[in-house]
Amino acid sequence: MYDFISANLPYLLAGISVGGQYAMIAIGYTMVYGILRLINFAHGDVFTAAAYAMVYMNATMPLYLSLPLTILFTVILGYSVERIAYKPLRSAPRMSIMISSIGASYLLQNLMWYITSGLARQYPTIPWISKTVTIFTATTKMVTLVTPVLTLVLVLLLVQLINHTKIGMAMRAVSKDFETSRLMGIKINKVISVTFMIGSFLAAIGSMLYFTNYTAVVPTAGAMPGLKAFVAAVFGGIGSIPGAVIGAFIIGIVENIIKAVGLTTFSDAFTFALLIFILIFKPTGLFGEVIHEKV
Amino acid sequence: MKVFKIILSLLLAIIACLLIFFSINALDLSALLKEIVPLETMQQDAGLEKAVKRINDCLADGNQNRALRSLNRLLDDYPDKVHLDVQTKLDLFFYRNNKVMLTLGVYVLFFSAALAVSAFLKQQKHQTAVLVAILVASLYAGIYIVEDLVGVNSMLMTVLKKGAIYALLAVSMNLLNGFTGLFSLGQAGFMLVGAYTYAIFTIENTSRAQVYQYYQGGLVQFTLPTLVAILLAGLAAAFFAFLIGLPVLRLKSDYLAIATLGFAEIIRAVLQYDGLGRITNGSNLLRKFTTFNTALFPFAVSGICIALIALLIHSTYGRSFKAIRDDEVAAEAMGINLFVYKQLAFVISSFFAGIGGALLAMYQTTVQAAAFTSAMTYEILLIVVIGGMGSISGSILASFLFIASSEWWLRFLDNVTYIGTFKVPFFRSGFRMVVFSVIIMVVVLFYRKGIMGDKEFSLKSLMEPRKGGKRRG
Amino acid sequence: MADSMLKLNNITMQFGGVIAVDDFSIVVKQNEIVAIIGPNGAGKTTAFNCVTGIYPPTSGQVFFENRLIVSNYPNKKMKALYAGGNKNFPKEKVCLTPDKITRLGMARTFQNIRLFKSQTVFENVLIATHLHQKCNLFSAVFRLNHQQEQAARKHAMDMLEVVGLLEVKDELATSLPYGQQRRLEIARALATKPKMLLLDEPAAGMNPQETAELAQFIRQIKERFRLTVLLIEHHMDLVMSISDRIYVLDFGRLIAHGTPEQVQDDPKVIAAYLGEDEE
Repeated sequence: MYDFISANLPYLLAGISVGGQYAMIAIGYTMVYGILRLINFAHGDVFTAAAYAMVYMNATMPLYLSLPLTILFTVILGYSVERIAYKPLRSAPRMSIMISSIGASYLLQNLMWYITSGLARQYPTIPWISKTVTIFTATTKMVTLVTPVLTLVLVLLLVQLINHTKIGMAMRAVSKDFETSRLMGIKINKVISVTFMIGSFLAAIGSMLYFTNYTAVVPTAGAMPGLKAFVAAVFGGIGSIPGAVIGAFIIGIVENIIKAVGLTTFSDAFTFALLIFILIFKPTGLFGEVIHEKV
Repeated sequence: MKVFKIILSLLLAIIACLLIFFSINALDLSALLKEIVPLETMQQDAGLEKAVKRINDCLADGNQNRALRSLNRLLDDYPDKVHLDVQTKLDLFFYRNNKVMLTLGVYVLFFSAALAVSAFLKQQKHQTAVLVAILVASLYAGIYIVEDLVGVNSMLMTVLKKGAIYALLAVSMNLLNGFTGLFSLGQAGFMLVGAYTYAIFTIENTSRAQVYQYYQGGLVQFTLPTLVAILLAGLAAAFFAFLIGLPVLRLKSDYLAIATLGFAEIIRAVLQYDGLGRITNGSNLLRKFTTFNTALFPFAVSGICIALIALLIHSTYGRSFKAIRDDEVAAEAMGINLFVYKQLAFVISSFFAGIGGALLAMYQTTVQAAAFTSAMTYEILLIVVIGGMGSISGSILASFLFIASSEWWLRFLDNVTYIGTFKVPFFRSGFRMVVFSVIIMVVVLFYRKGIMGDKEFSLKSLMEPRKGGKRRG
Repeated sequence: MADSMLKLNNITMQFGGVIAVDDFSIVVKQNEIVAIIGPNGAGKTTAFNCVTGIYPPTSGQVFFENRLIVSNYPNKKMKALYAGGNKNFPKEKVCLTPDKITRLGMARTFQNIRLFKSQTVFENVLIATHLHQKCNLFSAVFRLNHQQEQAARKHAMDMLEVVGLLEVKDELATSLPYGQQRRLEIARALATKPKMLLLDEPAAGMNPQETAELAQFIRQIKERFRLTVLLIEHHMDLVMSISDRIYVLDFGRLIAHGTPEQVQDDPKVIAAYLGEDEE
C-alpha cells in the first residue's frame, strides 16, 4: 500500500498541479467562446508569450517589477489580439473569424520564433513557489501545492465577479443573446475586451505556474497545453467556467495516470480521445446547454 | 477565320517538323565533330587531336555531359582551328539544346493539330475543350523545357514541385471546406496516412533491414509499383476518413473542426507508437522509398487529380455539395441525404489528401509522423482562404504564390543585409515568416473573399464587362 | 381512408416543458387544398416540421399515402414531462429523414425562405432535380449521365417557366425581390416532382394583388400537376378563396375545423384572432 502511494503520488500531484494550470488557460477559452462563439486559437500563444515576457523582463528587472509587468503585458497582448484580429470580423461568417484566429496564432508563433531566434530559454525561478517540498514520500516543488489553491481562489473570485457585478451581468447577458444585449444598450466592445483581458490575466498566472515546472520555453511550448485546455473547456461544457475547471483537472490527472502506467506516448492522445468521446456522446459537454435551431 | 486557322496550322506544322528533324539529326556528336574539326586540321595539332579523342572516348562511355563539356572547352581553346559555318553552328545549337528543341517541336506540332481541329469545330464547348488541351500541353511542355534550362534542383523547380503538391492539397481541402461547407481541420492526419502508406510499400527491399533497424526489418517485405502505391495511399486515407466520418460528421461546424483536429493528432500519436513499429517504424523516420526527380511527375499526378475534382464539382453531385454548404435544411428537403453526401465529400477529399501526402513524401524523400502537425493543416487552410473558398483556380494560384513567397521571394528578408554601412533593421532569420504571417492576416481581414472569391478563372470573364446581379449580405 | 394523402394522428410536440403542438389530428384527401391557420406562435410550422421529418414529434403518427412515415412516443425522460392531451400512443418509433420523405413525394417551402444563397435562380431549381437522376458517382464525374443531365436541365427550365422566372434564371437567387424569391421556392419544390406540396406562408409579405395572383397560381399548378396542397397561411383572403377545408390551431390545439364558411362563422375562431389578422 505504502509502495503504491509512494510510487504514484508524484504523478497524482503532478496531475493536480498541471490540471490547475490547464484550468487557468481553459477559462480563457470558455469565456471567449461563451460570448463570441469563437475558438480563440491564439490563446495558447498568448500563454507562451507571457512566459517569454517573464524571461526577458526578469533578466533586466527585479522580481517585484517583472511579475506585475508580465501580467500587464499579457493582458495588453490579449486585448490587442481581439482588437486587431477579431473585432473587424464581428459581422463576418463564423468560418472567417475562426480562420483569423488561426492566422493570429500563426503570426504570434512566428513573431516569437523571430524575436527569440528559436533557442529555448530558461524560465526564471520564482522564489518560494520553486522551493522543493516533500509530501509524504514525494518530492515536488511548492508550485504543485500552490496551483490548485490559487486556481480555486481565482475561480471563486471570477464567479463572484460574474454573478454579483454589473460587468458580470453584462457578460452573462451577452453570452445568452448577443444581438439583444446590444439593443439593450450594453457596451458590447467593453464586455468583449474585459472578457479577453480576464482570460489573458489568468493565462499569465497560469504560465508562471506552468513554466516553473517545465522550464524550457520555446515558441511552440504553449501549443499543447493550449489545445488540452481547450479540450477541457469543451469537455466541461463550452461557456461554463466550473465545467472548464473540472475538465482541466480531470485531463491533468488522467494524463499523469497514463504516464504512471507507462504509456507515455499516449498521454497526449488521451486528451483527444476524450475530446472525440465527449463530442460524440454529449457534444454540449458536462455542463453545457443545448441550443435549438429554429427552422 | 477558318482558312486563316488552317493556313497558320500548316505553317506551324512545317516549323514543327523542321525542329524535330534538326533535333533528331543533331544526335550524333562524333559525326558533328568530324565536321567541326576536319581531319587535316586535327592531324596538325597534337593537343587538338587529344581533345577530340577525349570527346570520342566520353561518347563511347556514354557520358554525354562530359563530352559536351569537353567540346565546349575545345571550342574555347582552339577558336581559329575549328570550322564553324552556318550549318555546323546550327547543328551544334541543336545538339546542345536537344531535349528542349525536340520538346518544342512536338509541342508546336500538337498546337498546329489542335488549331486545325478547332477550325472545324462549331460548338463553343468543343472550342473550349481544345483551348484547355492547348493550355495543358503548354504547361507541361513549358515545365519540361524550363526544367532542362534551369536545372532540376533550382529554386524555381523546387517551388514548382512543392507548389503542385500543395495545389492538390489545397483543392482537396477546398472541396470539403469551401464547396461542401464542412469545416474540417484533419487534413494533416490524412496526408500522414497517405504518406506512410506510400513510403511503407515502396521502400526498396534491400534497404528494409536498414530502415527498420529497431524492428527486425519490419513487417512489410515486398514493394509495390509507384502508381499502385500512390493509389493505395489515397485509399488508405479514404478508409480512415470513412471511419472517422461516421461519428464526426453530424457535429456542428465548430465541433467538427476540433473533432477532426483531434483525430489528426490521434493518428499522429498512433503512427509513432512503438508497438506498431514493425509497420510504421515507431518514432523513427521512413526513408529510401521511391521518389521523383522531375517536376513533371507531381504536375502530372496533381493535374489529373485536380481535373477529377473539377469534374466532380461541376456535376450534379458537386451541386448537391454546394447545396449542403448553402443551406443544409433546404438541401435535405430537396431530397439530398445529408449524411451520405457529407461522407462522400469527406471521403473523396481525404482520398486526394492521401495522394497529396504520398507526393509530399516523395518530394521530401523522408517521412516522419512528428512533422505532420496541425500547423500543416493551417497552412493549407490559409492557402485555401487566400485563393478563395469555393474556387479551384484560386486554390491553385494561391498555392504557388504561397510556396513561392515563403520559400523563395521572401527569403531575402532572412538575410542580414547592409546598404553601404547601414544595417537594414529587422532583417534576420525568421523575419520572412513574420512578414508572411502579417500578409496572411491582411488578406484574412481585408480580402476575406480571397483572390478569386468563389469564381473560377475563365478567359471569358476577362473579356466581358461585369454583369449585374450584385451580391447582397 | 383509401384516398387520404396525408393523415396526422394525435401529433404532440414538446420542447422541454413547452407544448408547441397538442394532440393535433388532420386528414388531407387527394387533390384537396387544405389550410392550417391560427395566430402567431400557434404551432403551425412546428407541425409542418414534424410532418416533413425535421424533428420527430414527442408523440403521434404521420401517414403519407397510407404509409407510416413518422411515429414516436414519449421515452423515459419525456414521459415525466409529457403533458399532451392524448394518453394512448402506439409504441412505434419511425422517423424518416426529410430527404426520404421528399423522395416519397412530399415537397415543402419554408416560412423564412431558404434559398441557396450563393447560387443562381436556375441552379437553385436544378439542385432539386438531383434526386431523380439515377446515376452513380462515377458516371456523374465522367459525364456518362449526359442524357439524364440534359433532361434534368430541361425540367428545371420548365419549372422556372411555370412560375414565370425564366428571364431572371441567371441572376443570383438572393438578388430577387421578395415575392419572386417565394415563387422560386415553389419552383424548387415543384422540381422534385411531388405528389403533395406543403406551403409555409406562401403569401407572406405580399400585397392583395400579388396574393390574388398567388391564389390563381396555386389553383393552376394543382390542376396541372395533379397535386394535393397543404398550406399554412395568415392571409385570410388567400385561405378563404382556395381552400377546400381549414383547420384552426390556437396554442397548439385544434379549435375548429371545416369548410371556409363554417370556420369563418365559428365564434371560437373569432375569439382566438380577436378580429382578422392582416399581414
